[in-house]
Amino acid sequence: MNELIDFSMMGLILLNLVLLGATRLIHSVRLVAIQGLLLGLLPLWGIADAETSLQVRLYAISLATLTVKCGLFPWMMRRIIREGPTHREVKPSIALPTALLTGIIALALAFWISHKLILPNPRLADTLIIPAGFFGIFTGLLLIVTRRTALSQVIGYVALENGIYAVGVVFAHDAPLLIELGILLDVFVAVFVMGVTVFHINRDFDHMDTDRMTELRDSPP
Amino acid sequence: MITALILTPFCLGLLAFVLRSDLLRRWVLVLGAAIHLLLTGLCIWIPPSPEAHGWLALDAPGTLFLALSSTLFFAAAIYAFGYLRVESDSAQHQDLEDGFLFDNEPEAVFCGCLLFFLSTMTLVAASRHLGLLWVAIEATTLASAPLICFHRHHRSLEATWKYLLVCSVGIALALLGNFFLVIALSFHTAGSHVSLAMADLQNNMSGVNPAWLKAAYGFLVIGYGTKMGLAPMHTWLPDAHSESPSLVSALLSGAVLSTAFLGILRATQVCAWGGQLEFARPVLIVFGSFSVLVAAVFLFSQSDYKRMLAYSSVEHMGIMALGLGLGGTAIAGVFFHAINHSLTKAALFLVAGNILACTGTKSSNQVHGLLQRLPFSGTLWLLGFFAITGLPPFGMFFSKLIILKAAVDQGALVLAGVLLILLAIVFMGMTTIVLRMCLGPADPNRPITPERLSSVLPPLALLLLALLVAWVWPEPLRNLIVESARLFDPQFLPGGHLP
Repeated sequence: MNELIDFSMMGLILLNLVLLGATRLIHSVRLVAIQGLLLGLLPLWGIADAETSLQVRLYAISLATLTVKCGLFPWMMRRIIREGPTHREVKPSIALPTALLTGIIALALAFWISHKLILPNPRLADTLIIPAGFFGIFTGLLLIVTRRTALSQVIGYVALENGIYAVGVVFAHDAPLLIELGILLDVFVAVFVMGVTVFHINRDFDHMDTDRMTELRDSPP
Repeated sequence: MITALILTPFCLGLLAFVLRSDLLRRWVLVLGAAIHLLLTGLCIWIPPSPEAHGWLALDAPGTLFLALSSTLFFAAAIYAFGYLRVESDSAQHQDLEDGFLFDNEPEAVFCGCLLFFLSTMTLVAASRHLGLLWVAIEATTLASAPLICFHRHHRSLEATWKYLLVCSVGIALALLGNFFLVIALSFHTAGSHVSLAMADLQNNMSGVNPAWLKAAYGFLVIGYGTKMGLAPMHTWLPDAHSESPSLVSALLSGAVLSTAFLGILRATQVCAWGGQLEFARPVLIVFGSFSVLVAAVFLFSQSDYKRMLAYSSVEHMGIMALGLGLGGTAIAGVFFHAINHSLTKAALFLVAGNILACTGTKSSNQVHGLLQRLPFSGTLWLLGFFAITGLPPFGMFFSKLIILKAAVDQGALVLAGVLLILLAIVFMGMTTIVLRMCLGPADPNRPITPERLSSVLPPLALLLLALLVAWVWPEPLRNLIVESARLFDPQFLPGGHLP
């Protein structure tokens, strides 16, 4: 079971590294969709030795995660790309090699943090859950800060959320199903509202470039 | 009872989405607000029993913030009635400052989201489960985002985008905080079920792992602090407050920031049960003082009066976080401060909306002679300014005094001194702006539309209520504040600390 968890976590880490270097939006969407697939399967690892009521819950969580993260998100983002004027990331504010290098430093930082915070469960203590989670957060933040296209920032948010969700899903045994579903619903609505806003930005600005959104600031009197 | 309180606005919100008549929809909005206010009053009178396995219950701080949100929403709904009538006069609108044309969001979306927003705020106040609390706080963000871009143009879209992204990322980090709390708890409950319900947490926190608890608390404060507008995570706040319609700004500032504070309050409670209060206090004090500092710096050279109010909110949230960090007698002051801030700031934003509608500019440099040109709004603007900067006889004078006194009593003289200096800077900054707007001769070249009575009454009522609360001290309110303070200091005695 630990091998399978580690396999998923390695997958998340690698996908995040690729995401940092990706420029075509449709490509980035595919990457976060594969992350969604890995996360959706995560509750099923080790389901065999769980009791029946827990099994039902884990199947439900897995199904809901797959629907939202692997089905609905990519579908919505594809639609935005198809109808919008922008298909690739234009001029991120730091060059891609620099972004990748920053990503590797962030990965090292994530592993360092995981040495400070040791998981209680001895079975999970030597897995890659915590570093993968933190690296997801760092990747998401990096994308949101350095990318200029509104949709890239949404993808950054999804990557960040995937990182956090990876930590949560492993502890799904402890969280009530209702809360798990509430979290998924919230994240889904968040991406939906962001998508609608991106749609309006596309229409009103004729571009998705948030860099040109600089009118609101504190002007001197 | 609590379920009814949450579901009534939600169902009416759905109704508002499908109704065809604009007039009927506005009545639904006011009706929803009135029913909610009545039910809330009933909840204060007869405390409702917990529901849904104790996940939904109203404790003292929850009731307090619920009552605040409900009152503000009622005032905002009345204000919205007249506001929407004026807005629906023409299909296309001209931007007051830059002159371009834009459309409004459909009124169905606006009214529906307003009611959803009330429903989610109620859920935040009634949540007694940290997971549910997270879901509810994120839901307030999502329900309020469409409200900010009611006027669909590039500035409001920019503000909505920042609000959505910054708050969603912040609240996602709070989710990690919740997961970490589960991990911290699973150290000593090996194998058995871990519950994040407040009632279970209260009994289960002994033996919790301190390192994970501290990490959890850090993420929770950063996450909910983003929503509350604590510096340096406040960047969304001035933009969202200056671009949204004034009644939405009033709700954001008066109700949302307070409900986010409730999130931090719950986290601090859990931290205290886990024996890590001494870790939490400096964190809150640092975030609080930094917020007051940032607000003072940006207030001093502010030329947009709605942004001025937004930074003033950052300042007051900072004071509340600081008071919570100080603990002891300051806690009662914090709750009192929250009441005063919500009522006064909401009134000020509504008045700012009147000034904007009548003068057509948000720049404080172009508005003069308000007392002469808009006698009602001008007077309210000046009185509201007195109230928000903490001049007597308004309640904020006392609440600031209680918090400052607590700092001095604890020997934190440097902190109290710095806070006093910063408050003085804020006062000077706001005085310059507000007095310049109110006094002096009016610019005869600038056309001014007369003010409407329906837009003056709600802020007037809120300001009167703030004054009433500070001087009459209704018994239920007093009990709520005392009970809230006892959550942190079981020996807290009323009298002496409260006016």
